[in-house]
Amino acid sequence: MSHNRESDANDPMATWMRQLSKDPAERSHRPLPDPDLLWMKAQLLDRQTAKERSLRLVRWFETMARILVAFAAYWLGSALANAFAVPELKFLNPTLLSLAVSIVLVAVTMLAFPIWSED
Amino acid sequence: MNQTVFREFYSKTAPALRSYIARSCGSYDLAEDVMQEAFLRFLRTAPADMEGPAMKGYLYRTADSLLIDHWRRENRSKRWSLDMIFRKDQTPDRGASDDVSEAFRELKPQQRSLLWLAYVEGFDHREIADAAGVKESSVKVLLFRARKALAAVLEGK
Repeated sequence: MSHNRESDANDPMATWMRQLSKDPAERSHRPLPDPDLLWMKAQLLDRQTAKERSLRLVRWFETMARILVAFAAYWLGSALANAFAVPELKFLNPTLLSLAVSIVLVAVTMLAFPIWSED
Repeated sequence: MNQTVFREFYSKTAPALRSYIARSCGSYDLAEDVMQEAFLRFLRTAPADMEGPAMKGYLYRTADSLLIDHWRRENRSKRWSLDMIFRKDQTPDRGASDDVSEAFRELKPQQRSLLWLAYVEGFDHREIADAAGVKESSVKVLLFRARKALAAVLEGK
């Protein structure tokens, strides 16, 4: 496919462009970056992307599990509050008690399964 | 592509690509960063069945878009920087700058890449069309305009 090429040896434009193409960094003796390092970096980035992609579903399930635990904890707290609704403990508000139990349970699950950690 | 093939491709392509970027932006440091990023993107996203000129074209296209992104970011940060408010002079790295580079930089990015692919890389019109994302039939006209623009810049110098 040489019929559509522009590089004619006598063309002043070609001469000018060839002069331009001489690497200015080469003249300042800058070595090219190591291709093996670039290769390794690309491999590492690929692996990291694959890992993130595979973890995305796991994280979604974890979030859903957290929400379910929160609801379950609230329900459990309410049930406990009702079960211990003795006159001497009237000062304990059932809603506040159930909320406290929920917070404790959610905190425990978050400590046990930290979804925001790097691994 | 395996590591050996990449090493060979890199040794053939990298000097001209770095030169092209340095001529386009006038900075060695930026040229080096953009070149590395272009190769990384090439390794990570280029289709596996690509060959010779298409691979080069992909690299040049990536480098062009990285440079455009860089200039956009730079303009945005300049617009909002305190230096601009207080009119503090910025001295960019112009290590790769000379008369030849400056003339080249005055062209539009597309004109620069068309001239480079045609005269330095020796691509034919079909390869240029693939690399630059234009129709093959319009390459001749675009090259003519680019030559004219460069001649006008050089005459003005």
